[in-house]
Order: sequence, then C-alpha cells, then structure tokens
Amino acid sequence: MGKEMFNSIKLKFISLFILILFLLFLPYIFSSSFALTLFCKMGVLIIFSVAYNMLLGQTGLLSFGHAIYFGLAGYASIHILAAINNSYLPSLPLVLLPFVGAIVGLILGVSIGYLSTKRLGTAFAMISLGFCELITALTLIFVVFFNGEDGIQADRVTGNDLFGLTYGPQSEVYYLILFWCIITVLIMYLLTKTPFGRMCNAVRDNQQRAEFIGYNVRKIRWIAFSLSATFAGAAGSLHAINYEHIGFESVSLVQSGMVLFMAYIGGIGNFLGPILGAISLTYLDTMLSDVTEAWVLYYGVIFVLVIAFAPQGISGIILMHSPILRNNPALLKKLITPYSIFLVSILLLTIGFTSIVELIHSIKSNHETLKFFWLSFNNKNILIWLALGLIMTSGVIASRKSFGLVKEKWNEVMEEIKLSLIK
Amino acid sequence: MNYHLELKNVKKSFGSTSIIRGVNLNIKKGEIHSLIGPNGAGKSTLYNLISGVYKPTTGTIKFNNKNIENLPSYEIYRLGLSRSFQITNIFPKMSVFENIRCGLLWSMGYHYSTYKILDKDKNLNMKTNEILEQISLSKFSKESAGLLSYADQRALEIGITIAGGAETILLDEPTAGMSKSETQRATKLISNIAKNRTILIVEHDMGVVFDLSDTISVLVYGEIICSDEPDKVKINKAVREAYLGD
Repeated sequence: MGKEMFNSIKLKFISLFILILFLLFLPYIFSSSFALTLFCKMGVLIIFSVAYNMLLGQTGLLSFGHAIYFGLAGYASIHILAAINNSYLPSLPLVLLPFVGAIVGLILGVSIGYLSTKRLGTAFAMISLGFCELITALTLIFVVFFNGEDGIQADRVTGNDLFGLTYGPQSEVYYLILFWCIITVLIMYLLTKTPFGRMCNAVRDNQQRAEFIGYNVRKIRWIAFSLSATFAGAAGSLHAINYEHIGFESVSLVQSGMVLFMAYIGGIGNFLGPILGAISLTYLDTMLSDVTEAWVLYYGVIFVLVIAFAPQGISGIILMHSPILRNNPALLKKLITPYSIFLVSILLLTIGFTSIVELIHSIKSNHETLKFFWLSFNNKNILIWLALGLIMTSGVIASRKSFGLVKEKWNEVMEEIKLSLIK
Repeated sequence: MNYHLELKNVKKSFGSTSIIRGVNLNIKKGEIHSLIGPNGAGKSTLYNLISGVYKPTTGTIKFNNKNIENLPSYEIYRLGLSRSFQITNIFPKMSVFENIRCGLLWSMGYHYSTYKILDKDKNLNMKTNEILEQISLSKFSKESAGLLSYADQRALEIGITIAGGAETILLDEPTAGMSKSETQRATKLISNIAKNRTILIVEHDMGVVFDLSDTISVLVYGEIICSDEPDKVKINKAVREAYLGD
C-alpha cells in the first residue's frame, strides 16, 4: 500500500518532469510564429481558466464577471510598461510584472469579493454580471485611464531583462509565459491540498455542514474569490505583455463568458479540466476563426451540447473510464464499436450542419459558390440544399440512436464492474 | 445549580405563528438527555435555536455559562457544541475519509490555512482513521460519501459531528428510517460516543429513548410539559395524555 502510493507519486513526478521538458522544447518542435503565438495565448488562458475554476468548480460559485480582474490587471500592467517606455518609471524586469497584475487582482478581489460573497447562487451570479457591465462601461467612460475603444499600447522591450532577455522575439515571451504558467498552476494545485482548498469543496458540497464543523463559510468564499482574482490578475498581466495592447473587450462579458466556456467544456469537476478546455478551445478558436466567420455560432453550439449531454466536460468523460481501467481494462474493448459508430454519426451531423450554415452564410455575402473542404457548391441549386438537409437529418437520427447504444453498452460494462467488485 | 446547557423562557415565532412558546430546559453535564414529542411540536426548531441557525425571539440560551443565543453557528461549534441533522447532511462528492478529515480541521488548529499540505500530517490522518474505525466505515474510506447506503451515511454524519472532539452533541433523529439491525448498530454507536460527552437527542423510537436516556423532556406545542427520569416520565399523566397516547 505504502509502496504503491510512493510509486504513484514517483510516476507523477516523472510525468511532470517529461511534460516540462517537452514544453521547454516546444518552440523548437513547432517553430512557426503562428504556433508560438498560439502557445502563448494558450498559456495565458490556462492560468486564467484554472484560476476561474478555483471559484466555479472548487467552491461552487458561478461568476459572470471574472474578466474584470484579468482585464484591469492587464490595464495596470500596460500603464506600467508605458511609463517605463516614457521613462516615468525605472525599468523593471518584465518577469516581475505579473506580480503587479496579481496584486491588482488581489486588491480588486478582496474588495469586490467582500460585497458579492455576501450572497450565493443566482444573486452571486447577478452581482458578478453587474460588476462586469459596470467595469466595461467604465472603460468607455474614463477615457483618461482606459482610452476608450482603442485601448492602450505599450512596448514590452524595455531594455535588458534578467539573463539578457529582451522579450523582443516571441519565443522569449513564450518562456516567460511558460514560467508563470507552471508556477501559478502548481501553486493552485497545491492549494487544493490545503485545509482552505478542502473546505472550498466542503462549502461547495454542503455549506450548512461546513458551518457546523466550525467554518465561517462566507470567509471561505471570500478567500477563494480573492485568490482566484489574484491568479486571474497574473494572467491578465501576461496577456498584456503578450499582445503589448489591452482593450475594453478584455474586461467584458465576452472575455468572462470565454473563460466560463473553457472551464466548463474542459470539465469543472477536475483540476485538469480547465487546462484541457483552455488548450482545445484556444486551438479551435484560432484555427477556425481563420476558416469561417460562423465560428462563434459553432462555439455556442458546442457549449450547449456539452452542457446538455456531457456536463462533466472533456476531463469528466475521460475520468469516467478510470474505474474500468482500474478493475478490468479488457472491458474497454466492448466500448470500441459503439464509440466508433457514435463518432461517425457525429461526424455526419457535423458535416451536414456546418455545410448548411456555411451555405446560408454564403448567400448573405453574395458568393454564388461555396468552397467547402474539397467540394464547391452552388447555393442556388436546390438539390444541394436537399442533399445537405438529408445528410444532417440522417446525422441527427444516427447520433441519437448511437448515443442510446453507447449508453446501453456503458451500463452493461458498469454492471460487470460492480459485480466484480462485490465478489 | 449551574447547568451545562440552559434554556430560559425561549420563544420563537415566525411571523404571527409562535412555534416555541417559552421553553425552559436544563441539561446536566455528562448526561444523555432525550427530547421527545409529537410531530410539529417544535423539536427541530428548538435544535436550530440552540445551534444558532435561528435566533430566538426572546429568551436566553447559556452554554457553559456563556450566552450563545446571538452567536453564529460556527462560533457555537467552536465552543464545543456540535450537531447532526434529521436529513443526512454530509459532503456527498467528497470521499468518506475527506468527510471525516474536514470535521477534524478546525479543532486541529488548521483553520483557514492556505499553505499546509494535509496529506503530510500523519497525526491528522491517523485520527481520521481512528474515527472511521469507531463508526465502522474504514472499509469505505476511499468511496465517495454520496454512494454509501443510508445507514452508513447516517453513521458518517455522526462521525463528522463528533470528529472535532466537541463535548456536547445534539443528535436529530439518528435512527429515523433505519431497519431493526441498523437501529441496533446506531444505538450502540451512540452509547459508545456518549462516554465523556453530553448528548441531547431527538428520537421517535421509544425503545431507543428509554434504553439510552438519563433524562427525558417532552415537548408539546412549543412547551416542555415534563422533564424527568425515564421511569417517572413513563407514568406522568400529562405525558401519557399528550403523547404516549394510552
């Protein structure tokens, strides 16, 4: 037992080590500037979504306004950078700037958290929404500080930083973000292992009971809120360094919704969930926004489908299989066929749906033909519409049927596991 | 005489409805004190008043000579008064082990710490296992609490209630909805934890009540009509008319 645990800890350390090594060499494996920009964005959003999930998944507080801490810390950082550019401030190693962002986040989190953690559930969510709208409005009103819709720019190259880094090349920014990403995610992970972290879960599960084991549940929520804002602030600072620009959209509801999507689609029940969510959604966002203007629509559809059919998110779906792996991995074979049938039907549905959406979109933009994958369609041809409609309908039917099949097989496998556990 | 827990003329009304109409109740240190009465008599309300969920409209509640009627629940708990609930009140998504360990945190001085790693504290984890042993749930240590059977969840609830080492425990219908054998197990557990503790218990199973109690108080329509030793309560005329019903 003890040895087993020791081995599992050792395994964790080794895989973490390999992961960090891999991340260090990532810019050499994918060296295009496109890939680097993508990785930088992912790193920032990983910090942000893990911080957000400290609130949503760990403490059970749904906030619609978490971009405030991200964005305002970004504004503060850009102002500091600009002040250094103009020699109002002495040069500061850029690697320390996220500290400033974190402090800004902490101060905001402590004060806004004091007000909003008085209430729970819907009221809490509404207060957060109110603050988000308020701050977004402020960015457009207080032009002195926020510079309205244009936002603010600054130059991140402020002279030689530690180890001779200049942060001119994107790859150096990548390492800065990687450094902060590893540190903050590690701290946030360790936080879940502390009394505070455990009591966050306790408050989430049952706040009355938490109170009757001696805890002021409001204080727990307040600390969680403040710390979550702190890490969001660090992420906002990195965001500002990465783009050398910050605009009002970074504090807005759009940004708040984005982090909610990431945490939710990745899975809020697991520490790794928001990381997966941030990686996959940033990837899709960057890739698809180049290909299609209807990407936001697909984004919404994915979100609705995940909430309706897989509320446990990507990480939740993966972890569902761990009892099978632990007890009888051979049973996984039974799931291969239903899973592949289901994936094929989903693919059919996706092709049908996206081509119809793109076809409708092409009417608006006055193109008669639409290039889609390797095919080109004429949107005046009724037969094409009918054919696509047919594909989509059959995709819907097939998906529903095969989802039933997946469920059925899944239940069979779970029954077998339960039986083997009783024996 | 100074009592351990002392309620004086406690009244509670919700709007124009008065639920508790002047309760005087004295609980001695170290006794098992049962509170019985028909449905709707106000037993749960009285518990909620003692444990700080509600504030009394008038009256005083003293615990170890300290007024507690205006304190929030978590401060009453920290003074050494812990309670269980009529409806199972555990942390369903956390493991059985975590449930008990959370119950230990405050008393072990961890409070709101954000830098101590719990898995490293051998003493804490040993104590958690001791309590799991005491409530016979060791074998389910890693299961998620929501998956336990009803009786086991009730046992876990008692485990969380006693984990922090509170010397006074309020139990709210600990055997409700249990089978005979489960009730026996629960009764055994209660008399086991009653050593060195003061227990106030609300219970409908008269077998359990007369078996365990040192004192029985009868609450009818928001008033205590009798508070005495079990044998005397049994033959009390008012109690027989109002409650025992024969």
